[in-house]
Amino acid sequence: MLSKKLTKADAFIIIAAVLAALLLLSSKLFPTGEDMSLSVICDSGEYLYSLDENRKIELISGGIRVNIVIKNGSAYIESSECPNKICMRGAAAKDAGDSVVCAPARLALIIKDGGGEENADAYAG
Amino acid sequence: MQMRMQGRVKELALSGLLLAAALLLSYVESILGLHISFLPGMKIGLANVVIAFAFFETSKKTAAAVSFGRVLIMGILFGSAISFLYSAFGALLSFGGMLLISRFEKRVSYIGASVLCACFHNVGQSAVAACFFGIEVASFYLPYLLICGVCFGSFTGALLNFISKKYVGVVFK
Repeated sequence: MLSKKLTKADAFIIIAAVLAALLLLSSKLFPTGEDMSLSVICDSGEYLYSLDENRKIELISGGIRVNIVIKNGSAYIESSECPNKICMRGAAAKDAGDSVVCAPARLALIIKDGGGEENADAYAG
Repeated sequence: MQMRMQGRVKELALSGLLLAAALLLSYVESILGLHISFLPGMKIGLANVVIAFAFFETSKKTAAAVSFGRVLIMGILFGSAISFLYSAFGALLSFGGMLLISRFEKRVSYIGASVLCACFHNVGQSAVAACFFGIEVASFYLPYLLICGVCFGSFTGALLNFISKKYVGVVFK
């Protein structure tokens, strides 16, 4: 039978979970400030794009057509044929470590530190 | 013999009732769109109220059957192979969290148990995300998922505290 009142163990669990979250967030809070690029991971591999150039990318991943937009240094999913459209509702990714995921399409956009212009459009998958 | 049979029938009926409640809560949650927009797949986890209730108030076997049944039926009716994988791993780790808590039952309340299970559930889902998208994506979402786990776990835990105080006697009459 569980305790009916809040206990020290409850507080320990909550504090441990918050600390773990803060620890994982700390790397995101202090980016290196280098040039950033967009990594698009889909079922055919990983593609890198520069964030300096505004562009639209259309690709099919997991049998689902997805349109990605790079605009003013940020990237987001403009449209997707996935059933829930959760990926379209989120904020644009712009800082190092930010990501946008379309799970049904098995597609992820991740902002990476460095690797800007010289790696633009490189295929790494 | 007849008493034993009656006990089994009662257990089966209760499992069916709990499974129906878990499915109903999962479905209501999915149609109401109680999602956090920038966190794919994040839900309050109302169905976990039923699973945790089954685990701590009935038996581990009943809770495992209800949890597995819910994941399977929701996956077949409303999900895809990928969403099934996310749910299954989340449910598996969440069940592991409940087993861990059951070792320290008297020292933990429903709030601590729910928070731990919610966080374990999210870690399980992040592990599946890491398999599909790499560790980088999973580690981006995990801290937010953990914070949501603390908030929603506290909410469902408080709900469980209330239900267990008021309705355990009614269910097992």
